Amino acid sequence: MKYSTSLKIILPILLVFLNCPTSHAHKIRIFAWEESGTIKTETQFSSGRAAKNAAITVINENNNQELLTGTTDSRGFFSFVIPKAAKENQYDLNIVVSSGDGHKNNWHLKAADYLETQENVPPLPPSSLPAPQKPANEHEFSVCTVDEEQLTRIIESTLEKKLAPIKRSLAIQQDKKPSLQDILGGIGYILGLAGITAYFKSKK
Amino acid sequence: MHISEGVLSPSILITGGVVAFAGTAIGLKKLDYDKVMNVSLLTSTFFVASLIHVPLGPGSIHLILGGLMGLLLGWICFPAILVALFLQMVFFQYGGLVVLGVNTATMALPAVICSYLFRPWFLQNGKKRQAAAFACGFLSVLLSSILMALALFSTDRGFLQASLLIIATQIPLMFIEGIITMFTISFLAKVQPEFLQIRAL
Repeated sequence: MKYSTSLKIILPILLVFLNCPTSHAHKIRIFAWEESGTIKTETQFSSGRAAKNAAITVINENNNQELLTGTTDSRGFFSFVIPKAAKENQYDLNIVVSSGDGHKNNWHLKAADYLETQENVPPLPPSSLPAPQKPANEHEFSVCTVDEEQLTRIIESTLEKKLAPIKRSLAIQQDKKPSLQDILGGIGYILGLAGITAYFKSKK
Repeated sequence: MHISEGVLSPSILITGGVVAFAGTAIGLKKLDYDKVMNVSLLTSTFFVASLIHVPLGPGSIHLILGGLMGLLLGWICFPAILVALFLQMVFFQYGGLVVLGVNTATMALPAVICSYLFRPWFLQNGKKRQAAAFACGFLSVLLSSILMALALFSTDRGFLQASLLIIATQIPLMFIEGIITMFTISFLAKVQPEFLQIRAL
């Protein structure tokens, strides 16, 4: 009897620990982030494998109009230049991925999220720059201003490059994987429901 | 095996919902006070099993254990699978609320069919029970994938190729499930034969 009761408990628990390190199953996931004027999307199955040749549809969330479509490459990536209309009218984008076998998911990209860096790209207006003091040498002055403009651009592009992986990992982290807490919580709910069912059955 | 939200047509969703509702009603009627705890343990097993994934082909497949549920629970596997799928939706975001009925039906209906087909062999000891368990695990996955393919195909004829691909990718899983069901059943028969009697005759 002792053996059998322990078995009852072991079976689900064994399964919990068997899968812990690689606890993902079949579900498609999509992430999207903006990178210097283009929107990059990455798709993968919940096992971490890239979703190849999955259909991507970009929808304008404000009026549910389809903006563009495409398919992912062999690494599960798909990127597109932000459409002009979307940039001008500040569309919120809904990026939908479908693997064609009943798996579908989407990612909401708010206008503020992908336009923020875009608006900053044009160099600062001259008025906000410190008023240049007229140097004695005219030639030296022109070199100086060009340098400042270039510097802003260089900083922008470098930052863009450095921030891209951070944007990507932030996007990925928004999609949670099942954790041990979720699993144990679910088992707890099942046992609780069993208790409720047992209570009603015992009243009969 | 979990179909996502927004893929299927309303008529399929309603059909799935009706089948799941009817099955759950029958299952709850058959559920006795003494069996509740065993059923909940099997529900937990089913709930967790879908997290064990086997990387195969372009995607990955995960265990279902529908055959095991069917053999041990009969009709009671409907409420068990419904609860497990609902919690998988809440905790892991698999499937969705609207497709819950369809997903329950595609997994539980084959399990019930298999349990009726192989019940006579299952009640006998030794090799015949093992064979029944293997066949049950194997066939329940096959029937589930056929049902899923049908659901996709009747929503959109363009899904035909994808539907056939689903069945093809599930073939290795059929063998894996068959073997796991066989070992689980023969293990249970050895250490806890009462477990095999949960299902009402």
